[in-house]
Amino acid sequence: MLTLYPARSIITMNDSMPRASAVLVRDGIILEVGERENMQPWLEGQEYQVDEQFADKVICPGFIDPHLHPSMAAVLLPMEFITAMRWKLPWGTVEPTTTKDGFDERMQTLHAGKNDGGADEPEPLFIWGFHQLWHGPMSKARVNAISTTRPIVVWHRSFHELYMNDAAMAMAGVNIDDIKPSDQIDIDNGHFFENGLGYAIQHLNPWILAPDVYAAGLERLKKVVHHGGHTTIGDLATGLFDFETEATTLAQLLEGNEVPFRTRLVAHSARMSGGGRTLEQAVEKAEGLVERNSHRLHFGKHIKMFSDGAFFSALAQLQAPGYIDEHHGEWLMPPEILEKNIRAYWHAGFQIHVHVTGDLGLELAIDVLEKMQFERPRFNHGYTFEHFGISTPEQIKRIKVLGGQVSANAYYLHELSDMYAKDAVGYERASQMARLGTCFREGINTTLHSDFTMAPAEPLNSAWVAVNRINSEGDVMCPEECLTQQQALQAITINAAHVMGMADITGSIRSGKRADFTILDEDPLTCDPMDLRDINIYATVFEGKVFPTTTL
Amino acid sequence: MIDIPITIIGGYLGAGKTSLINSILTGDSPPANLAVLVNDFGDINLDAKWIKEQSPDGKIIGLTNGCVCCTIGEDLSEALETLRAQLGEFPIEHVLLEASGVASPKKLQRQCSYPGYSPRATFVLVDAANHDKQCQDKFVGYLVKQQVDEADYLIASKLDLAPTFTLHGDNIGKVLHKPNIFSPDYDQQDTAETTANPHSHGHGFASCTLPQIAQVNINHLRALCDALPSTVHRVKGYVETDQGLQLLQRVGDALTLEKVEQQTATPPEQGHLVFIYIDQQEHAVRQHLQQNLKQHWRFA
Repeated sequence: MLTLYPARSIITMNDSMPRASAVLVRDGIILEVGERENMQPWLEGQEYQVDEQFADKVICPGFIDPHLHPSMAAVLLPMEFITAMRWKLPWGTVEPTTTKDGFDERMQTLHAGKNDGGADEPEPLFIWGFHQLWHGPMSKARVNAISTTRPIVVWHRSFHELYMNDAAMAMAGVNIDDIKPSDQIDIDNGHFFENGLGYAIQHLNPWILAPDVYAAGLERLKKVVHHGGHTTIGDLATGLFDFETEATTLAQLLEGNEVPFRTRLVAHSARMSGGGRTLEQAVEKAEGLVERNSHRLHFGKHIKMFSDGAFFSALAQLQAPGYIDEHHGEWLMPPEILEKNIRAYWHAGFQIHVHVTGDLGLELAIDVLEKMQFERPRFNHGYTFEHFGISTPEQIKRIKVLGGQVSANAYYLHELSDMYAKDAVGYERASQMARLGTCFREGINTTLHSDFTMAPAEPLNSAWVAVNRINSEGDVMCPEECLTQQQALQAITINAAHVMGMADITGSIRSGKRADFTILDEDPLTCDPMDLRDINIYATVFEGKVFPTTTL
Repeated sequence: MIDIPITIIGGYLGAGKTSLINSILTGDSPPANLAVLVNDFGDINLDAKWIKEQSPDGKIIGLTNGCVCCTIGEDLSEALETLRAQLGEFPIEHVLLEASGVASPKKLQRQCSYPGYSPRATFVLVDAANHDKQCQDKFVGYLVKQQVDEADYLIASKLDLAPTFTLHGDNIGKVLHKPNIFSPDYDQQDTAETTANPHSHGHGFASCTLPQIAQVNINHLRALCDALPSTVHRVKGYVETDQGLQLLQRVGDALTLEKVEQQTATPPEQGHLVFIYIDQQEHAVRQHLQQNLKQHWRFA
């Protein structure tokens, strides 16, 4: 059976035919895109239907987020959100809460909404998104005021600290006599931070990493991915917590006819070399992962490495003049070890994805790529710089010459550039983070990602940031680096497909590719750029099957 | 209340952390009920395996470096909880923690203040053969210096490859020679003191450098060294003697003199000796030195 979809417009992302008005699909494959009258030869003598449901819609190539973390999302998504920024979730949009009273009110509502009043052991309530800048100082007393019987855990937006009320501490088995003044725990306030957070997590694990909670979290992730308009995602560090558990659970939950997207699994390199394996054995193990592949889940010759520390924690490694307060970032592994690991996978023909956040972390990853190209030149190697917080124009020229690609978290600019300008690195460098206009001008294959849960898993939101470069205070940061709407849409479709190593099957709408579409109410290339993130996603199509995004 | 001490071994990649741990485990009297937490990524794995083989009874847990994006699944907490949960089976009395080569000793020490555990001193190994070069490295230069600055005690390794190696400034007072790292001397000083005076290390050390002004007879030099008070912890430097320029190193009572071949080593402009002593005894030590050494060395 052939299905013909007429549309108000089809954006193909194929430069040879940028626009079309109909697309013809058979068995999940695009037969032809173009004008309906040209498709007659396909239809003659064939059984076909004309599906008019997208007749007044705009069809785009299925969106791709080439870097997120399903496992982290699975931990976060079962929690309730109270956040200073807007989070659009399939089960409802979380509107911004920006005051202390607002936060308490929301806590109260969530507590009352649990509807198990009077139960002997009320269900625990996990809340994520607290930030003192908006929500005032948090304390155990403040959480106790909501409930003394229901365990309530308030997680900081950064994930690096949390607060518990007395009931939560009792539930978790926190032994007050155990806590020394020098531990990073303020027991009177129920506040656990840095290593104290590690202690809290160890004690909360039965609730947050329980297999059924994790599975429920992944179910929610599937909805988030679908509602964001994705038809392909990349898990950019399979094994973040534990390789076997994750690979097995993802194989169960992200496969099946009802899953509207495919996942590129990129293994965490440290999980390949752990457990006493040599580097050669690690590469062998990584090569063998393809045996686990199924229709929707693909390992490939991709591997993830890490250079410098987290951007949200201001642990990116910076070149001179560094941070204003003169603190230094962190390396996530000794540079020599990073180089050795990259060398092993480079020579084995892998596409290497390196987490880089600051310009010194980037410099290291570029230097290593340059060495590799000297040792054993490769074309089309796909070496990708992931996150790409702070960079210099000179580094971007080197990336171009060495054949690298860029996958950027543009949301850093939205959420952090104001704070970075005032407290961390000064205005010049803060306004120029996510230097994406330059990447496009150099002709580097450049894509956008959410690193979900670091940013909302909404490609149109990432595109909105890259096009408008508006930060949390509403200021435009470095308009010279803005992308055009065309570039931004390229970034979240065909360019992302290249980074995932899947451009042969998805990322654009052309004859022979999989029928992966994102169906929009408005045209993302001609709309007001400020409206980009608010365009309604009507449905997605994954390999020819329509998945409407009806409200759940 | 359980309070298990954690001893931290730090230092950059290649400084000899694993060798030191192995020498402790295979030494004459490895401490009883010791748990060793080793760093476990990349090539270090081989070493972890090696440790395990050499110490079949030891309790060894592999660690990967702290989580990269968030602290969920934080390995150190997990390892500490695991050890604690198994106390019935393995009555651990002491933990030896091998830091990642990129760890800040101070930060790790803070992290070791964990319910049920307390940090002791941090020992940072310094790769004598490569330290100066590493300090100039554009990626790890700052980190290597930071590790030395933040250490409570320093242990130089590969001195055979760099016999003239020396550290500068206050850090020289932190250098130990073949210490028994489990000695009670190295129990953690209280945090208040650490904060108040970052250069105080248990019993603190002070140092002075004396330029040589006249050649000395080598036997006389030995006698002078033998007569030094026990509060002088270490002596090091170049001395012009009747038998040529000598590299002098004295740790505790052990004195070594090596003739410096002028062709192979860069000769110092002038002989000098560095004395490291317990700072509380500063007055007595200086008095002793002045009385006995003033013929050949200059006092400011």
